[in-house]
Amino acid sequence: MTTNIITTNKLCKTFSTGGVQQHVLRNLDLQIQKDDFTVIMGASGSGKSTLLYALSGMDSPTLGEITFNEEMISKKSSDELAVFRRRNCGFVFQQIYLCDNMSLMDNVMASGLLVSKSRKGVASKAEELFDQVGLSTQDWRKFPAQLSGGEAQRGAVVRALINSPSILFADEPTGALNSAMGLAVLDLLTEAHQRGQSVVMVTHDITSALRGSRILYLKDGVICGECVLGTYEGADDKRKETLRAFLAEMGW
Amino acid sequence: MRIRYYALALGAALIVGICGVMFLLPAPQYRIDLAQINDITSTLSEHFDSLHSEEYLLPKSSYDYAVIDAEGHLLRATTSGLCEDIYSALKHGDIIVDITREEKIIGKVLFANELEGQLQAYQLALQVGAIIVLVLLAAVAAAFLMIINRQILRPFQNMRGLAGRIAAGELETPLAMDKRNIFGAFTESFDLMREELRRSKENEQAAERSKRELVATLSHDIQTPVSSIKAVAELMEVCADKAQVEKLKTIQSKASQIQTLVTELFQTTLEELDKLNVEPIPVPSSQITQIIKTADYQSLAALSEFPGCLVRADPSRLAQVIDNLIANSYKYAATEIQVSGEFEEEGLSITLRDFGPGVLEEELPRLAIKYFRGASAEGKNGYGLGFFIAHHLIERMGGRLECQNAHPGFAVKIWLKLDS
Repeated sequence: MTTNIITTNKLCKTFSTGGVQQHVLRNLDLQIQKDDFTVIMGASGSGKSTLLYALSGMDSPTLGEITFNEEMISKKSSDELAVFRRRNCGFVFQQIYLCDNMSLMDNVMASGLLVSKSRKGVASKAEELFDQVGLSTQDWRKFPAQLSGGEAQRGAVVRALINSPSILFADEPTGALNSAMGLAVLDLLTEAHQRGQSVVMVTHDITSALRGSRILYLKDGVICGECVLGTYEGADDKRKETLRAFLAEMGW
Repeated sequence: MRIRYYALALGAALIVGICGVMFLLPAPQYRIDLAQINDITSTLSEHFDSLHSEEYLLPKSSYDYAVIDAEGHLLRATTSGLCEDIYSALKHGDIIVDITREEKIIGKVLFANELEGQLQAYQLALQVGAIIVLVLLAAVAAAFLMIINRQILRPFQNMRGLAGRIAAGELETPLAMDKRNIFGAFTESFDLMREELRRSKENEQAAERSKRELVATLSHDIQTPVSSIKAVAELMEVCADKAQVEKLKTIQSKASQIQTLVTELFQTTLEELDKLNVEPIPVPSSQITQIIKTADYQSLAALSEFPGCLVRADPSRLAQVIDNLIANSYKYAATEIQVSGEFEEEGLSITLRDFGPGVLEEELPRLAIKYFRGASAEGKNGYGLGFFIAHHLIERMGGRLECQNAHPGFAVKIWLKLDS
């Protein structure tokens, strides 16, 4: 069970603005295991989101290698990366990014049909997923503007899972939601993980981080600590205490 | 000269102050107003009988006075607290006037002596005036001192500071010159002196530098013929008789002595190597390949791709080192240079390998020693410093420089720490 889905080798990302080079990720060596719920934490500006974008192939690294299931993605062109992403990655963002002129179902179908040719197959998969996230038939016929933030985010999770991605990336998925809605979305991610879905989530929220089975702490573009919490089975005191102690040690 | 005006102003203020005091406070002069006294006396004489009753109002006067009868009893007084009998009135210096009616003294008026009160008031006014004038004078004097300080003392202090700085060898800071400085030309010439000193010091340093360069070049030129002398002496020793061997040994030992001296001379010119500034920053490996390409002006280097990473290095110093290594390879091998990079124990090691003759195995450990030149350096320019400096610079970046024979060829490995 310890096969690596993503491996990075001296991953570096440098942004140059006006001749000033900013090294956001510096020589990052990282393994993300299959069936893991990896949480990336760190102060703002530590490179969390940059790392997530590099890992998911949304952005290519300046230097270094990223291997995804034995496939080197760091050398791919942006077109190849787009194909790669739609087959392998699901994304949940802080902003929901659903198309406003399509119903929730159409949003999900649009994603699904990029990969699969079978409209029927995609539709039945979508219905199954909607059922899992607790959205009724009425809900998925609605347009994004008619949905609450939490419902829309759940819809976004369905869209992320429609192609059965080998890995799900979440960038602060609860950032724009109130705590009850946030918990519902976290529960969805946890359930997906329990069904065997690999998840990588960036967050700076301790409640969200508790769901992770493995916490990585990023500081100045370098992973400076790692904490293994094990599969989530409720936020018991021991888990909270372990995470708190880890974050305190990291200077959270 | 502005200061003269200040002095005049001070003097004027003094005179005005003193005159003011003198004019404003004339000494009190005591003049007895006889007409008034006589007037009052005659009025009182007329109304003497009605004095007993309180209804009668005593005639008004600028004097305070008391009226007593012939027996010395007080009848009336304009105010209380006056002398009420003749003796005390005499003692006090009051004016005593008889009130007569038909040639008979019926009473006396005692006019209070006001001189004392006036004197006291005068004294008080004098004191206050004196204090005001003194305070004014002190203020003017303080202002004057301040001006003197600003105009005279401070420029002098500045100059003293400049002199101190010059003595300490700091010649860059110019003398701060105030426009209103009354010693303008004087301070300016002071500053000119500093400027001149600075220039001559710079010249001196330039001369020093060129002297060092001369020493470096000369010592090389001296070493070569001295080595020849030594070699020839050794050759001659083989076919020489005993007496000559003794002399040839002297020649050899003296030649060695000259070599040591020259080397020592050369050494002092290199003492300043530590002063080079080395500042390691995160450098992408792609930049290093760029540096190598720039240094390889003869296009002999064959670069294989470096693994991407960030290393800690000072790019300009690293360029200096790589320039040096590539130039060495051009000089001693003039073959293709294979350049490769790989990860090695938390660092990136860059190997530059040529296919030349390499160096003698026993010379390898000595390559990084100052002035060491291997056997293959025979007949080539150089001072045996390239490796020494390269070694020094790479170590200052926290890396290592190693060299070895590659059979065939010679390989130099630069190991640089990963940035983290």
